[in-house]
This record gives sequence, structure tokens and C-alpha cells, in this order.
Amino acid sequence: MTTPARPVAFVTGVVAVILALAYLVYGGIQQGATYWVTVGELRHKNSAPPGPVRLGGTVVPGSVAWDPSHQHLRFAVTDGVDAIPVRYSGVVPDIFAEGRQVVVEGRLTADGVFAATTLLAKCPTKYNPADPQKQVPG
Amino acid sequence: MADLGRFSLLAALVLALYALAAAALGGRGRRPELVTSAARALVAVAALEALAAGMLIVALVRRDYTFAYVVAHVRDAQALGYDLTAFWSGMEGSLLLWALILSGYTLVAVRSVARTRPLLLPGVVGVCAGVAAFFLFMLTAVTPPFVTAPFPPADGQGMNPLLLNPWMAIHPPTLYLGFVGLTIPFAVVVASLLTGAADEGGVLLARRWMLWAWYCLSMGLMFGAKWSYVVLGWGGYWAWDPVENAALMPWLVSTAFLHSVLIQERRAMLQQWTVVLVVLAFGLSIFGTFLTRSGVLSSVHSFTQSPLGGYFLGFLALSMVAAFALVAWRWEALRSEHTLESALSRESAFLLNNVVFLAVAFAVFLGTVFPVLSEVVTGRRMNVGPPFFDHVVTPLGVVLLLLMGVGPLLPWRRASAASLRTNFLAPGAVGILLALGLLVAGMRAPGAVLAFALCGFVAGTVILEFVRGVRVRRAHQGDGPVRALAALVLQHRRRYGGYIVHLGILLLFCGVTGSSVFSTQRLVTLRAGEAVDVGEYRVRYDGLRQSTGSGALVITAALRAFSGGRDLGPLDARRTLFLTGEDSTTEIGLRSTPRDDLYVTLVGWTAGGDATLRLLVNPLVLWIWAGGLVLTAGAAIAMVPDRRPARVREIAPAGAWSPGGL
Repeated sequence: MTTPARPVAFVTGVVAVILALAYLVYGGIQQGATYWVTVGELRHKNSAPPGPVRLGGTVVPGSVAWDPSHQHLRFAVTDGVDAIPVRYSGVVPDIFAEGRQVVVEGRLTADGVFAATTLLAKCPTKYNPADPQKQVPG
Repeated sequence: MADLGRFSLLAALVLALYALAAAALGGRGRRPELVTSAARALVAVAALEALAAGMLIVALVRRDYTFAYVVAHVRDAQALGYDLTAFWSGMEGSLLLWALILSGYTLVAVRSVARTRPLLLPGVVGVCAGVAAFFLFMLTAVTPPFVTAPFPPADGQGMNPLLLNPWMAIHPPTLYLGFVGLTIPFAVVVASLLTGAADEGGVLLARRWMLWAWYCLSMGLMFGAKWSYVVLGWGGYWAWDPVENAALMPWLVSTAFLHSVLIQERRAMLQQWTVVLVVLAFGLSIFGTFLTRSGVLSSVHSFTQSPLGGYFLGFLALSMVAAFALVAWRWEALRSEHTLESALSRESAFLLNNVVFLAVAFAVFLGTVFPVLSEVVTGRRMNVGPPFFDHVVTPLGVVLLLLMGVGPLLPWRRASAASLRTNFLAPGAVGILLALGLLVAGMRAPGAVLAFALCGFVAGTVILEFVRGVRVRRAHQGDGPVRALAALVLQHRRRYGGYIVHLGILLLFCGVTGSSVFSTQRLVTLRAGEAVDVGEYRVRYDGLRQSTGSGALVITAALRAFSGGRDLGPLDARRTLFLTGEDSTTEIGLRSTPRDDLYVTLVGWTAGGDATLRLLVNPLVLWIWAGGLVLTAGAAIAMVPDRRPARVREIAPAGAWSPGGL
């Protein structure tokens, strides 16, 4: 990519692509970036960032409750110490189950319930199971 | 049996290390007998790996539950075919598959290199042996597949039922054929850098391997998308998941390579650039294997907690530093004789296309590693989801689409105003007419109108290329149109194969545009006998059926689809609940037509027999799969080797259009 004389128009084109990329990336991050938080951080509100967040944890066994038509789902996620209730409506992944690891995206509402807009569950055989011993909160 | 498997992997590791050392010594000291010995050692490595793979397959098929790997991926109730695919459904097996494919490729590559470019042999053997040694080290020390338990359980756990699907059965090996295929071009390029052979032969030799790897990656991506669409039940085929991005990044870089290597061949330019692309593609293939296998990014855990991660990143860093140091060392020797003459030329369009491909790859990379990156920079883990990728990649994709049309219309070296007018008139008119037609027909989404118009424009350019070629041929040979077309394509396979691939990509673009812009969906709860309207369809729910079979309870929502009063037949959506464990799978109700897909998921039900359904109408999804078929046809044509000796490269006069030229 180092040659003595390149047409100015071409160099302009390349610079334009790079600037466009930087602009798009900046805009994309402004729009779509969410913080990861732990249950503990969300519990102690002052340490949690504002806006929508991503919360990871384990589904508390016995906490999963559906409404009669299976449209709305309630469950709790825990980091091993604290737990937080979650409500979610939408497509639930087939691998969602009690005791499994999930990631929910959404925000904490005033009543202390996490209103999730996205629910991701970890596929137990596709990925390496994480060592529960190392699951340190925070 | 497990001992034999373990032993053969260990022996293969020792032999691969020997091959690496012998190739290095033989290459330095110019001792061909050592290099020959190294190449022979690689044959033995392949045989030993095949033996180990055979052991694992036998254990899987016999359901020998003394093997931990068998317990984790097989159970008695599983169909025999999936016992075989269990081979690559776990980390240990898939790393073994990686090593096995690499050895197979290595044998073929060593044969052809020894015949055509014996100077490169030590380098190719050395690099392949080095990569094989890394994977064999992982297989012996970090993720051994032959772990046995003294007290075997009576039955295995089996694979996750989501993976029990034909598309998922063929998706990983296809992807691996692509990932591993990127090692050979890397080996060839490193070898030619080491020997200082500044001739471009090395990169051109790499080209055919790259095309094969690119094709396998394309198909792997396609199979994965199909699986996601029909199995996961969320209604989409691409979610910008790290695991998907892992395969997309090397695909983007190898696509860039396939374009820039054309210029290198034709105009003796861009040697430095193509070499960098080959190294990058290899690095991304290792990175991709690491991503798919460790799950670092989708998990809530940090990078260092997976034992696999450290080794993979270490190997990746080592190979990239070494390769880029080599490139830097030979940088001056790689300098090309020719430079870009005009910004309005085919070279410049190709080069710009390369820049945009790399920009897309970089954006995907950034978005994929963003959680880790943000943690390092700000101390807080952040995530970017599909909105980020859509925001960044869509505009760049449109630019690529435009360049795909512009490139073939521009002449080599320098375009004249007159040639621009004649070349752009017809395809440009096709695009504009299509845009007007869509606007008149009532399409209001500006992005979609633009994308479809550009697709029309590009299709116009491709058809123009075919028409011109056929016309020239008919004028010279006097053949009939069909005969002329066949002869044209067969004689210039790479050029016209490439154009056919472009047509496949156009279909894909149309399908993605249609299904992402015009998708409609509804979530409803229905009582038996009730119907719901979605798009132009009406779906009637006729009640729940329940059946049991092979350890599972199957709930079926009996549905019937109608369109404007016409009965389109049953459209049942099912859910299978496995009695062991908490797993369940979704079986969607799907009615596919070229116009749109009617897609129904059974979300839930009540004891009273009401069913909650998610219904989607996804336009043009079938075009995506059709694009995959067209792409296969084009790639197959381009990959058929030429029997004739390679043509001498000719420098085309400025502004010339030549039917055979690439």
C-alpha cells in the first residue's frame, strides 16, 4: 500500500471509507451499547449504570412462573448471593430452564423487578460449562 | 481402546514436532532429504490422527459409556446418525476434526507444492506441522478426547436436542473445512516469504485453496443460518452472535483476498496487500475456532477463566507476530512494479471494495470483542447487540453492492468518458426503472428501494457481461446462443463463475432486505376454532393434540393456513418436551414460497386448550437459500481446474474490454 503516486481521488475514497467507518462505529456504540451488571450491583442501586443493562446469572430453581397463556414469564436470577426478580414477554429460548445460566437485557423498574426485553440462555453443550467455583460476583 | 487413542495422539504430536524441526533444519541447511523426511512424518501424523478419530467413532457408535466424551454426547435413545455427528458436537471431538482436516489438506498441498514449487516445500511442511502440533498439544494436554471413567453410567446424557437436526449435523464440519482451509494459503505465503521468492507464484498458488476455503465458509454460514431459522424458532436466521461473527470475519477477509488477487494476477499490483490478507484470514480462522469453542464472549465470565482461551490466544499471538514480522522483513521485496494509474479504473474499484470489506470485518471484530475491550478500557463490561451491527454494516453493505456493479463496468487502468457512458447506460437504466417501479407499486422504505434498485443495477451489469461475451463469440465463431454461452462460461471459468457467484450474492441481498425490512409479526392467544390474520394470510387454530414417543411429550397446535379464502393446507406447529431433564425443542410451522414465508411458533398453551402463537410473515427468505445454490454453482465453475497451461499474463491496453481477461 505504499506507492509513490496514487490518484488523489482514490486516496480520498479510502479516507472517506475510514471516516465513515469511524462515524458509524461511534453512532452504533452510542445507540446500542449496554453495560454488563451483576445482581449485586443492581441491588445496590448507586453502583449500577443508568439506562438499559445486561444482567447475567443463574435462574433460581423453583422461581419460574408462567401466566396461563405462556405469554409472560417471571423468574429470578441469582449470582449466588443476591437474587432479583425478572419479568419477560417474548420468545423464550428452548434451552431456558431452572438452574441454567441466562443473560437478560432490560432495565430495573421502580417496583424492583427487572423488565427484560431480551432473554438469552446458554446452550449447555455448545459451550464449555463454566466452573461454578469461579463464578465470583462483582 | 482409549489407550490406543491417547497413544496415537501423543505419537502424532511427537512426529509433528519432529516434522517442524526437520523442515526448519532442512530448509535452512538446504538438505532436501530432511525435508522429505518431515513430509513423510506428516503422512504418519495423518494416519495416527485417523486412527484416533476411528477409535472415537467406534466408541460413539458402540455407545461405550466408559468414555466421558461418549457419555456427554450420546445416549441410547439417540438415532445412530447423530452418534456420528456427536464426533464434532463437543470441543474435544471438534478439535480432533480440525487436526484431521488439516492433515488431509496438508497431504494434498505437500504433493502439489513438491511438484510445482519445490522451493516452498520446507516452509509449507514447517507451517502445517507447527499448526498441527498446536492442535495435537491441545488434544493431548488440555482437552483430551479419550478420558475414561472406571464406573461407566448405564446411559449417556446425549446431545442437546437442539443440535439433533440435519443442518446442525453438517454445519460444523463444513465450517471447519473452511476454517482449516485458510491454513494452507497461510503456509504457502509464509513459505514464499521465507525463501524470499518475491515472485507472485506463492500467492497465486494460495488462491485456489483460498477459493475452496471461502466456498466452505460460505456454505457453513448458510447451513448455520438455516439451522437458526428452522430450529431456534425466533423467526430469524442471523443474530450477530459471537459464534456467527467468528465465521463471518474470515469469510469477509477471504472475499477481499479473492478480489485483490485478481488484480495481482492481471496487473502485477498489490502483492503486499494480498499477503497481509492471507495472514489476517489465517489469524481470524484461529480466533474463530477459539470463539466458537470457548464461549468467552457470550458468557458472563472473563477471558482468562477458560483454560482453552490462554493457549489459543497465545498461539494466535505467536503466529501473528511471527507472520507479520516476516511480512515486514520482506516488505520491500513485495513491492509491485505497477501502481494505480487512475481512480476511475477497475483496479481502483477492486481496491476500494477491499477497503470496505476490511472495514466491515473490523466493525464485526470490534462489536464481537467489545465486552472484553470495554472492560479493559473503562473497567466496565459493555455489550453491543444487533442494533450496533445493523447500524454499521448496512451502509457498508450497500457500498459493497454498488462497487459490485461498478467494478466490472470499469475498464482496466483508466476509464474514458465514452466508455463510461456506453457501459453504465443499460444497467443504470435497469436500476432506475426498478426503483421507479417499486415506488409506483407503493414501496416506501427508502433503504429497501435503494437496495433493490442497486440489486437491479448489478444484475444488469452481470447480464451485460454475459451478453457481450456471447455476442463477441457468436460474431467470431458463428455459434448458436446457447452453445456460445456454454463455451464462454467453460472457457473463462473463473470470470464467469465469479459473475454467477455475484448473482447468488444478489439473491441473498434481496432476501435479507425483504425479510428484514418487511417482516410482520404477531403474538396472539387463540381458542380452538379462532383464526388470526397476519400479513395477507389467515391462520385458523383447530385445537391441541398431544402424543408421546421415545421419552418425549409432543404438543401439536393444529393449524390451517388460508390466503384470500383459499385453503393452503395444514401448518402445524409443535413443541417437544423431553421427559428426562428440562429440555424442549420447537418445531415451527413453515410455509415457504418465493414471495414470503409464513412462520408459526407454538409459544405456550393452557390447560383449557388455548394456544399462544407467534406468527411471522418474512418476505423473500427463500431467495437467501436460492442464493446459496447459485453461489455453489458459480463457485463450482470457478474451482474446476484448468487443464491448459497457465496463460501468459498480458497487459491490456487502456480502455479495452476483453472477453477472456481477468
